[in-house]
Amino acid sequence: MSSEPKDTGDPATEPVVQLESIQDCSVEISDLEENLTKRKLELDPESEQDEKKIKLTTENGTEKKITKKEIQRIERQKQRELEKLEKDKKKEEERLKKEEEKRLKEQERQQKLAEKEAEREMRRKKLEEEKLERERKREEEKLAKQAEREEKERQRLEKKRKTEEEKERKEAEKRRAEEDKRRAEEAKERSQMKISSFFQRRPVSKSAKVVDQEVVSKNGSDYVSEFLPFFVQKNMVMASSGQLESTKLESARRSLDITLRESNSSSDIKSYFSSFRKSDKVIEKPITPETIVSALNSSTTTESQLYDMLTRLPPIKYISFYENSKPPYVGTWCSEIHQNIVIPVSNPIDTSLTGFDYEYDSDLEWNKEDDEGEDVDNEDDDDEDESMILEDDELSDFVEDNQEMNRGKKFHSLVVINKWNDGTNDDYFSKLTSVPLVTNLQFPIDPLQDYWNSGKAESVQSSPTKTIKATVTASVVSSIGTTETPNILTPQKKIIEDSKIVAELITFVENNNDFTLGTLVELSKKEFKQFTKALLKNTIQNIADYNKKTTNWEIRPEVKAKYIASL
Amino acid sequence: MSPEDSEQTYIDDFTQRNYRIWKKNTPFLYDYLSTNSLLWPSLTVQFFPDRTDGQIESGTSKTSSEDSDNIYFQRLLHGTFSLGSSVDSIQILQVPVFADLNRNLRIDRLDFNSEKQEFELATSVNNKFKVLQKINHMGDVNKVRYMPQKPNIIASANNMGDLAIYERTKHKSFKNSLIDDTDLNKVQVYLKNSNSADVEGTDIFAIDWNKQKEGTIVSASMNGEINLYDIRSNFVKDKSVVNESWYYHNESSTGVNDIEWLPQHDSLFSAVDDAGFISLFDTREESKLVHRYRSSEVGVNSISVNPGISHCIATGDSNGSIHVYDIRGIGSEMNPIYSIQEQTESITQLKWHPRYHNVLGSSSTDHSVKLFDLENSSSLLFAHAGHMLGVNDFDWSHHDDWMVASVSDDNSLHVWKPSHTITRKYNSR
Repeated sequence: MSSEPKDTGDPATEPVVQLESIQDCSVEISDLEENLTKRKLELDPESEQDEKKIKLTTENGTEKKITKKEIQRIERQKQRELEKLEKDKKKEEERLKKEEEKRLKEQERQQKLAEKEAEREMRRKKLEEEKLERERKREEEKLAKQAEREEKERQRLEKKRKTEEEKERKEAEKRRAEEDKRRAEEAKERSQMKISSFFQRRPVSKSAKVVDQEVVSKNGSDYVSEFLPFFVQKNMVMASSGQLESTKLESARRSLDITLRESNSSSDIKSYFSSFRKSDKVIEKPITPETIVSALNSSTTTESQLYDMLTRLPPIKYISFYENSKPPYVGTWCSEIHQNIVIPVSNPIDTSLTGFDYEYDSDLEWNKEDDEGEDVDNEDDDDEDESMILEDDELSDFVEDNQEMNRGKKFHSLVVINKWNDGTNDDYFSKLTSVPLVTNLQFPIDPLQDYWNSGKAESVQSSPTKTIKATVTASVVSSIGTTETPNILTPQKKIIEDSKIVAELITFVENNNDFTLGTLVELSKKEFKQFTKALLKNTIQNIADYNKKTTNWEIRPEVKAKYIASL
Repeated sequence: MSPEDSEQTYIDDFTQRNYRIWKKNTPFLYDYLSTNSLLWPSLTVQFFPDRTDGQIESGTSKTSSEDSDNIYFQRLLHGTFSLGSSVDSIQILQVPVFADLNRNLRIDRLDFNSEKQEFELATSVNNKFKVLQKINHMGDVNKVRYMPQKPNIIASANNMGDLAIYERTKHKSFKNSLIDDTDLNKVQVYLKNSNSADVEGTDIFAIDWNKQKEGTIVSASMNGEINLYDIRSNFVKDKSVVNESWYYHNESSTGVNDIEWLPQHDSLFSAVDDAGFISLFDTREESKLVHRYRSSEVGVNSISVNPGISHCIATGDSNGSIHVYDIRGIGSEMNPIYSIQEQTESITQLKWHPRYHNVLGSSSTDHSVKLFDLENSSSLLFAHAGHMLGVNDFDWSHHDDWMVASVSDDNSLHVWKPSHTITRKYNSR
């Protein structure tokens, strides 16, 4: 895009060349940026048009006279146009450049984003792989462990088998040795006999013929000898095995082979089902226990009438649960009320008809009665392991466990010793004090005096409290209810002494006063973890009394008074 | 099932609450009920065919002599499923049942409970279930079944890819062992397909003894392999294995869940599989497989052939649907005669009542055992709701109509009999 046209001789060619050079430029740009190709395509027809136009002008020029000025004007115009074009071009170029930059930036951004995404994906994959690896390892370990366990089991069994085999072998050896010995002895005997019974007839050897008796029956009969028929005992009834007798089987088989080729229809099956008819007879309402009881109380009822009534009772039920401590329910279930309750077949857990309190468990009630004699001391009591089914081995396990438990405790056998308080054992007897159980008893005991009548009367009169109070030594743990008479005949039970804990226990009992002792102990054990059940039980019994009328535990007033400060 | 799974199967509060409600309702629902807790859950239970009338050793009870006259014993076969935590075993239990408790009611000894308004009886006899025999067994006890012709012979399907056959009398009875014996008992004979593609460790749940051919048993594995063994013909003394004498393997190796001979035929049996198909096989035919048709969109778990009509079969699938089919018209379309949708989860066992052939029982992982009367409109006859986890198997007693034994994942074994108020309307044929 050079100079001004110096030569007018060929004025028309110049712009074309220039245009071409612009074109070139556009090509260059297009080379640089692909976006420009479009531009170029847009430009090309334009330049072609220009060319045509100029060509036309030159043709006109040969006809008309074109002034230099005109040419210059055209030239300038051309120049301006070119400049404008160039400017436009530049502008466009810049715009494109900017756009390109923007695009590049965007691209870069996208790339970065993609990279980031890829990285994240990679991380995720890695994590997943690691997780899978971990799982695989765990699985492997599990399998290995299992294999190990199995192997151990196998080894154990193998060992057991070996020891048994060994045992058997030894026994066999022993037997053989014995046999040998026996034979040797026999031989000896015989040889002796030979001498002694030289003229007697020799007895026939007994063992000679036995050997060949084990004739092994072969040929399919191995099954018969190995798998013996079932022995039906005298008091045994067998259900049919379903095995048909051969002719019957033959006909059943033939008929089924034919039947299966027939077309299917449901009608005969349906009619077969309905042949198991429900009984038509109206089931009369069974007699109720109430009726029998009132008949029993009536003077007009004869024994045969009663007997007849009993036979009309519906089947007695037997309902047993392994987890219950109370015995199974065995009895009638046909009272007026029970007969009228029909629990829907589709909902055996219906609660709307019986009027039962479904929150109440009668088995706990049973426990209550049992509680008095129950020893709560047994903390290792493991009820869950108790299986209803009697297994001898479990029983033996149980015994073993007990022994193991006992090993922990220290037991000493008691040894009887005699020491006479005759002055020779002063250091022993000085540590002892005696407490008369019958307070007014005078020693020595007169075997001829009637202590029972006189003693009884007097012990009621005298207040034993004083005597006992006086004799309670500091070393004896005092009961809380000191104002009451502790029964000296029952062993002093160990109780909790920490007044803060006792106060807490009082509150606990007050809040749960409607439970049975057993339950109370169980519950309190949860809260007062540091104490044994026995200790808790003793303490509860010491601070509260069971009121049979209200069926509640009531804190003894004097206890409450004593601990009110701590409460 | 992995050990983790079993640990997760705890019993939720809702189930426990329902159990307590059910427990209170039981006198209305049952004539007989005995719940028992086994040391390990059992996947299998079967009543033996014998009933022994007899004496029970009881304490110093004054009524013992009178009560014992009324007691009889049934035997139950079950297994342990300890998942390797213990030596698994096959066990035989003695179940004492009172034959007629009403006989124990005496006019001069009536005990009237005025609160309940019922007569009660004190049972002094020891009527706990007793373990008669324990046969230590390698691997899970998936299913144990005695041979109908010789009930001392017990087949066990396990997870080792073969069947173990025990002769009960060749093993010591339980009371003879003082300590818990963990020695594996010697298997009388293994039933094995020596050419099998199945490697050791394939679970077998489907076995059935042929009722018409003594010593013949068919089994099917979870790899889809069906084997027939003829112990009677092929057993050789001192050889520990009897090989299969007939086998079939489906190309897709679809697991077979249950298999049953048509009871009045010696060559036909039917199987159900994980793909939802029922197949009928004829051991006399070259093609072996006679007919195969779809019964369900999901796996079919159990099949039971009606004891009265061999062409009437019931199937139960893993959606809890029960279908009853007429299998006649081999090759034609099969449509169920009855469809029962009473169980909400997978059916684990189906069994027709051995005497009332219109009654069908089913157990399910939905914790229940249900009895249906198909005589009209497939109605629900009874629902046993005492198990707290899925019920694995159940069986009908041969000697007490309506008595059922059922075992569940919650370690329980229940023996029960619906109340006469429900069953008294039925007459057997």
